[in-house]
Amino acid sequence: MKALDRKLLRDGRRLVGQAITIALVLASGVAVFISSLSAYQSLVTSQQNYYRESRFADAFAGLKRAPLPVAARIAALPGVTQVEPRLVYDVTIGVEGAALPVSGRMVALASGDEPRLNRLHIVAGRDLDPANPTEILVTQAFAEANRLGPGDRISALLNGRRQSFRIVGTVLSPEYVFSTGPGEPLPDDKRFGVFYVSREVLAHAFAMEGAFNDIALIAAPGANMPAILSAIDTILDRWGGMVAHDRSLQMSHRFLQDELRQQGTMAATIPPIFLLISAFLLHVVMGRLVTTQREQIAALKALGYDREITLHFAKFAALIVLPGVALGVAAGVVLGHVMLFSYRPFFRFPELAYHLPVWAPVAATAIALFSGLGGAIGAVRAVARLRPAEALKPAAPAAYSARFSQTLSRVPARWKIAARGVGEHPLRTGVTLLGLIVAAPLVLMGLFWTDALDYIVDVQFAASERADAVVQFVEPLPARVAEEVRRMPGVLLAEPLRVAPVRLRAGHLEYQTSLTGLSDRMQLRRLLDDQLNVIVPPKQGLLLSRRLAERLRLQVGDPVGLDFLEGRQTRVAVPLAGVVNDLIGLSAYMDRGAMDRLLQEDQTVSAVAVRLDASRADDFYAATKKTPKIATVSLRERSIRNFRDTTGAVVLLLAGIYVAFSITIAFGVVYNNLRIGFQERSLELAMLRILGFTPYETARIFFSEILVEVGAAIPLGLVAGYFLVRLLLLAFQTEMFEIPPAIAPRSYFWAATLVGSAAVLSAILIGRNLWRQDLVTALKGRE
Amino acid sequence: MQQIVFSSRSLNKTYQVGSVEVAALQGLDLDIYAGEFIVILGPSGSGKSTLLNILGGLDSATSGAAAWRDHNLVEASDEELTRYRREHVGFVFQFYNLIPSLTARENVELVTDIAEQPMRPEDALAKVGLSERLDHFPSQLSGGEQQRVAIARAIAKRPDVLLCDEPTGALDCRTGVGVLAALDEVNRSFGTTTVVITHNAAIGAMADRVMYMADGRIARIESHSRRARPEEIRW
Repeated sequence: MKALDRKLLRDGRRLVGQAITIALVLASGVAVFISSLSAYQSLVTSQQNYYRESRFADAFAGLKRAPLPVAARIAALPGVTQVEPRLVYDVTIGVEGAALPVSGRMVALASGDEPRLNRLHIVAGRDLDPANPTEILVTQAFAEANRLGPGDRISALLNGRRQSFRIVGTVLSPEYVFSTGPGEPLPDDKRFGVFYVSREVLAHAFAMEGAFNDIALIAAPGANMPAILSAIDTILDRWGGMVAHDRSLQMSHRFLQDELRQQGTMAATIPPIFLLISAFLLHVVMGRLVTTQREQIAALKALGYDREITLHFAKFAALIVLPGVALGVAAGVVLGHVMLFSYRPFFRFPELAYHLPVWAPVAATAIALFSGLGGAIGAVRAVARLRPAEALKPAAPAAYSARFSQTLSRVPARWKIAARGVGEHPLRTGVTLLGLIVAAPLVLMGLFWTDALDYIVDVQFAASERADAVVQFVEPLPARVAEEVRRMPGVLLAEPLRVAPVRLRAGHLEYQTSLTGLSDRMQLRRLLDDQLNVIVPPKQGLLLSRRLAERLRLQVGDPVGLDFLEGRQTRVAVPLAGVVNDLIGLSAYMDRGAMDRLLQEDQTVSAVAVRLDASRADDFYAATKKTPKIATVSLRERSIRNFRDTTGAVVLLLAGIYVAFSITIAFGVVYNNLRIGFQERSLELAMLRILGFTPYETARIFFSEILVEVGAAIPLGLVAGYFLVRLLLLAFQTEMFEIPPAIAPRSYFWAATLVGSAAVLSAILIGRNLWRQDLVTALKGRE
Repeated sequence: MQQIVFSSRSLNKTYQVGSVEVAALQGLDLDIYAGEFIVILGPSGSGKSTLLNILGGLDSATSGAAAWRDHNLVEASDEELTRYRREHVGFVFQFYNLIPSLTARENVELVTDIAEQPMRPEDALAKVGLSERLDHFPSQLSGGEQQRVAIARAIAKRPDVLLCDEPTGALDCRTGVGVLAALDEVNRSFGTTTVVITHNAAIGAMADRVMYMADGRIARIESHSRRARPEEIRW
């Protein structure tokens, strides 16, 4: 082994504490990068595979009733390769022992053929025996949430008649990766499931022999989808067609895309920040570490070494970088598996296969090596530029100016060391400050998500949707039904709502959503503006979720095309009267009276919002189950829980990982900055000890400088964190959610505390050296 | 009879360098009298610096006895050594070791702030001829000026002993003589016991006694009835 390589190993051993913390910082950055990207890529790949293998349909249309030959006409449209006419009904489900009302979607093929589209994946049990009308398949999510399995029995209220079924299998469907009940913004697997029965069951119960009420199709690659959709609308117009749509409006797909986009955005924004910050720190730390070996570099140069010096320090950097990267990649792969595993309850694909895109570790290694070697080599060059004789001499005293002398005239000399150290070493201070400043935003970026979710729950569910439950009817009913609901057990207050599916049009842009008619004195459903003030729907005009108005590029006062997708399918134009600060979903609202007039109805009600006496809630649920007119009951408590369990859980899982790594990075950064600061000042500190300062007094002088730096860095870091979160959220606008930049004071507090603690802990670790410092050696280091 | 301020008997100091034991001092016996100007000469490795470090409370001996007046320097704790340095010792090093972020005056203040009965920093700097350079930073001073600031810093606390390790080692002859003049002046006017270790035999001429060290012992001692003036010295 060459002497220089031996030096390498010994340096490595001497600097092991620092090397480990630097490697950990880097490993954290790499691990976050690798795990997020690989988990995201795995999800996307699994989704694509699943869609392809199960032949997930490209377009869908609902209708009232059409004879099967109509399906053949759709199949004959240019670009359509395959159609599947179906029978689909939303029904009330009876589950033994379920306290809450349960609703379900019953699906059967309208023809007797084998299913060709949206093929089911059987998780447990077996497929239906088409000859046996008492058999049923249930979606796995619903089965798990209700602890059901093959052999269990459930009942369904089919067209007013209760019918009993035996579960023979649990299944997954590409159409219901997320199954969302009617009128619910989020999936609730306990209260909504999808069920598959044989054709005879539904055909018989709903008198649909030889007919269908739903159709799915696959189009040829490159087919003109808008043309197909409008042709279908034309064909189905006389059969009560409800406007055909492509995948982008399919509920499960839309939700899945939103979740994936959120994951993708998180994977594309935060981990690179981690990686780049840790790479930056590596760069800085390597540079400073090399600079502390100035005399050695000069000595080597004097001995005739030249290129070998650069190579030596490149190896030195690699010795720290490569284990860090290796550790990061390994941790990233393990963590990626963990993340993918924890996605299982949310992303119900038959297979969630781990997929690590090759470029991710390659990119991480390249970035890390580049910044680590760059920092080291840059510092070597700076030293090597000096003539050996010059470099061998101790560095000339750093230059200071008298700039602050006036201000500092009354300050004791020992405190001037700290003051001038900070004030007159802009580069050193800047680098240390920057290192300390980036720690806080990382922590804040992780902690913030909890605040955002709390804020959404507070605003959406506590201030806006204040009803304990919303009862939805099978079809619009006369207004007096609200009074009937009010008389149900446990109901304290009942307020009617009119909800109708609509399509909004603005120029060439359109969006399909539901329009909710509210009365002006409603207490249980309130619309809020940005400042959380209540907005009363005006007697004329439409209110839209702000993101929806932006999406349709509408200003207040602009006309909006409003097509009702039920009843008489009225088409009107109304002005946009204002925007609403909805955090979940994209919705439209108007005055209930005005909506009645547009629908040419007389005070119809499609849902009732209720406030419940908590002690009698079970009586209320039992009563709703016995009321055939009630299609679904949505409960606020469950909506909140669902929100926290779905989006919330996925987001918090990632956020938790980010917090853990950000703390590692924060500690590594702070420790290394302080450690190198100590190294740079070690002679100065030894000198103070020689002059008779006690270790304690010396520590006070050293740490006062650190205190100034940390004290300045934390507030700056919090401010930087605020802006980073805001910047990040620009990338996070999804269709379903708006994530507000609501950072709670406690998150600032914790971010500051964590960074501060990292500084204190580092200071303690480093401070011990002041007591141990060998003064003779410190002097020799110089002489 | 002059008063003995520092004495050592059978003083040993061994260093462990890897697996090898190096004996830096081997049974050294020494007495230093109050107000003396002593120059210790000797080749590298003869034990000069080790002796100075022990005298100054920067290092402790392995065995034997060493005392500064009533301070036992062999068995003293770190705290006691710190207090000893703080109250009694002034150091001057080859490379000055000033705090770069403090001006000449402030470097001296650093010491006067923690001393019991210090001089005014301005007076200490005047003593070494730097009244005009009070507010200059080390980077704005020549090597000789920096060394004189270091001397001013060392004497400002009115130390009992001034320990100088190659104080002219980094300086040319003319500048070095200026520094020696400052040391001589301090020794003569305050009666501060001064010990200078150096390779430079010429400096020995200005001492009361010159001690020659070799192999961790004092090989011989030369006493001068007349001390040369610093400006008479050339090298």
